[in-house]
Order: sequence, then C-alpha cells, then structure tokens
Amino acid sequence: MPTPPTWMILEMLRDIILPVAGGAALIYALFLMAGRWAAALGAAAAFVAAFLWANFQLAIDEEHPHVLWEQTSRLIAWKPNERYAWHFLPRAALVLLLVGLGSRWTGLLVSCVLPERAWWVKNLLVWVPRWVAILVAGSWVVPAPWAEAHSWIKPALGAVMLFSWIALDGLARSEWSASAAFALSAMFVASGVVILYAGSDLYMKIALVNGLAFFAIGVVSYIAKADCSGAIPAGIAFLPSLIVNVRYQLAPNGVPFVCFWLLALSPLVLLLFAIPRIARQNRWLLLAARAVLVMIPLALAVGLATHYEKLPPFGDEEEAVSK
Amino acid sequence: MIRSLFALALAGLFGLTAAAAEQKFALDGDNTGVKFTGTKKGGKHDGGFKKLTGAATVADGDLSTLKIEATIDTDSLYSDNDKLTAHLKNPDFFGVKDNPTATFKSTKVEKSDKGYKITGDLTLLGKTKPVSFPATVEMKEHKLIVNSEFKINRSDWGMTFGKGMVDDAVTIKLSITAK
Repeated sequence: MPTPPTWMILEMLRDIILPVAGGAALIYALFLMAGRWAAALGAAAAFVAAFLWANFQLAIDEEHPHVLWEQTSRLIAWKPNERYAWHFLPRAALVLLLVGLGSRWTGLLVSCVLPERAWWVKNLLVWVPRWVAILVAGSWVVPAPWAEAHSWIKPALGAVMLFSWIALDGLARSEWSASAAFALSAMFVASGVVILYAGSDLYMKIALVNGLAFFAIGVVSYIAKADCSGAIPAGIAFLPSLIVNVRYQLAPNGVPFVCFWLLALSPLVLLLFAIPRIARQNRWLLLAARAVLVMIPLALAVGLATHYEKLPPFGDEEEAVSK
Repeated sequence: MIRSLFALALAGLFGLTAAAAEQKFALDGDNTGVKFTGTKKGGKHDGGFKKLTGAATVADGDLSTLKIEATIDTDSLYSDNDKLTAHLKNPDFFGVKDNPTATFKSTKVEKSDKGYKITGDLTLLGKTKPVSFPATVEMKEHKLIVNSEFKINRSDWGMTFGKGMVDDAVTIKLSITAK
C-alpha cells in the first residue's frame, strides 16, 4: 500500500487535522464554560467553527494581490455555484443546524407550558420544522441531472436524513451523548477512506473535516459529560449528501456501488435502539452493541473498497509513474 | 431604380467575392492538439484532450484575420497516469460531469515580432476569462498551421484545489494542422 510522503502528512496536519480538531474542541469547551445550558449550542458552534477554519485559506500572490472570495476557500466555495450541487453542502448543514437548535428550544419551551399528556404536541413542534428543513435543504444537494433522471432520489435522501436524525438525536440527548458524535466521526472517516479509493482528494478531505470535527466534539462531550446533540444535524446533512455527490461526480472506478449504500445508510442501524424493548437492556451491553453495529457496515464498506480498488499513488511513487 | 439595382448587384458580387476569399478549416481532435503540463512539488504530469470540434477561418489569406472557435469535450481528457486521469476528471479539477465542455473563441489576432498574438475568451468550469498568447501561424499548401505554448493560471477559472501542492500555472500546448 503506498504511503503518503511526510510533507503531505504535515500539510494535512496543518491545514485540516489541527484546525478542525483543535478548533472544534476549543469552541465547544469555551461554550461549556458558560454552563451546561450552552452545550447543544456550543456543539453546533464548534462544528461551524471547525468547518470555517478548515475551509479558509488566504491565497494571495503577485498575480492575485487582492483578496477575493474565491481565493479564500480551500474545499468548498463560500458562495455556491449553481452548477454544483455539492457547493450547497455547507448551506444545507447550516440550515439543519439552525432549525435543529430552534426546534429543540421551541420543544423545551412548549414542554414547560403544556401538560405531560400533550407530549405529542411538543414532538410535532420539534419534528415538523426539521422535516420541512430536510426537504428544502435536501433538494439543494442533489445534482440536477440526477434529480431529473431519478425522481426517487430527493425523497429517498430526505427519508435517510430524517431517520438518521431521529436515530442519532435520541442517542445524542442521552447520557451517552458522546457516542453519537463518535459514531458520526467513524462514519465520516470510513467514508473518507472509501472516497479516497474512489479517486477524490477533495471529497475525502470534506469527509475528513466532518470526521475530525465530530471526533473532537465527542471527546469534549465525553470528558464534560455534555450534550452534543446540537452538532448532529450537520452530520445528517453532510453524510448522505456527500455520498450522493461522490457517486454522481466521480469518474468510473473499482469501488463497488454497495460501499456507498453502506456508508450513507450506516446511521440507520441506530434506529434499532429506539425500540423500547431493546432500549431497556443493560446500558453497557447497549453501548457495546451500538459500537459493533455501527462498525459492521463501515468495516464492510472499507474492506470492499480496498479489495476492489487500489489507493492512488502518492508523491514520489506518482512521479516515478510519470517519468 | 436602375441605379439601385446596379448598386445591389455590385454589393452582392463583392459579398460573394469576400465569402469566396474566406477559407474555413474544420477543427477536430485529429488535426488539433490541446495538451497541458501541470507541475507540482518535484514532479510534472502531461495530458490533453482527445476530442474537440470547431472551426478556424482566414480571410483573403491574411493571417491576422484568423478566427478560432473550439469546443473541447472535457470527458476526453487523458494523462500519463490512469489514476491521475480519473482524478483530473473529478470535481477536484475539471469536474467533467458538471462541466462537459470547455470553449475557446478568439477575439483578436495581431501580428507581433515573433509571429502573432492571439487573444480570446477561454471558458473553463463555466467561467469565461480572456487569455492572450503568442503563436506561430502560417499557411502552407492549403493547410493552416498554428502552434503555441503558453501558461494559464488555473485558479483564475476557480480550479483552486490542491493550492500549494499543485502549481497554479499550467502550460498549454496548442497545435493545429488543418486542411
């Protein structure tokens, strides 16, 4: 297996790993210093800060002495180009983050006012806006030619996003909040590996940014035993949408189609734990079962990708090919 | 009335003469080469495009009246490494799914000390920017021959991925030998 040269690893550390993980952990910790009430908001802010930091670059040189918007983004243009559905990924994530926080606070307020037997009103007020937000934001991130050719893609993506949110939100609001962030982190890192084998550095880095941000949020959440549910909607927006765009955009490659399905649908395994009979089991048993069930589709996806496709050559090896 | 008809006939005759004096050359992937060389830390890669369509015209044999219009099929991109070819077609660089064509349309051709200077609009990744480049242009045995080598800055068209790892300047080699 080719290994990346040292300078490439150092650049990844400088441009992606440290800013994302460090930025997310720092911002989340700062919010937590204000109190536990700020935990969900802090987790959302941590994700946003991590993405902004990783996506920012200042590319000025002799030919381009003035700072233009297009010179300041590393991975995804700040101002989306209508031609590219994947440019709308951050915007979709931001919408879901805001609606997630807004609906959560609305639900909390309403539950203080309404009697307990009217719990369904609170659930409606929380989930209807989220469902609407998913329908709107989900429609931005499907490439137009695919949306025209396959009418089922938008509803299917919306359904995956909604059920993934339901599955992860419950976990993220429980005492095991950090495990929701760790699960998303593992899903994004596995996606990054599969995408790299499929042939895109850019999409791999977008997945890695997400994976590292959720890892850092998970670590802080675990240490502080704080709620990190505020950040979950960003992962819900990015994961299946990124996979859809990877499938649409990438040139033919040897990575089996099933790998992408496994990755996009991986959060849905957590729905099992919403079943009351299962949710009542021993909590350590549940923790172990969750970890195993999350890892199975990810390990399968990575295993299949590495079996059927070769890793692109790095640095010197690639140069050797060109010579 | 007779004078008007005569003027009209004369104008038509001149028009026909002008049209007859304009030579048109069809451009395709066989007679037109669009190649590129990209460089990075300690290495370089060569590539190009196999398919394109277009036309070049020259009026009255005057090479400064040269006009070139070409549409490149970006999916016909090739390089010296299969993996790299796939990578270049991905959104990291050309994003051929969203940008199936790149176009060039000349706007001005001027005589210079060493040949000609061709100016035109290059549309890449959906963005149109003016480019100027030196070229040798000649007509030999009813063939139009154009050769040029110049550099463009890929980030001008929004191709910014890998900044710092992959150099911004890309060398373009254009060669036309059309009958």
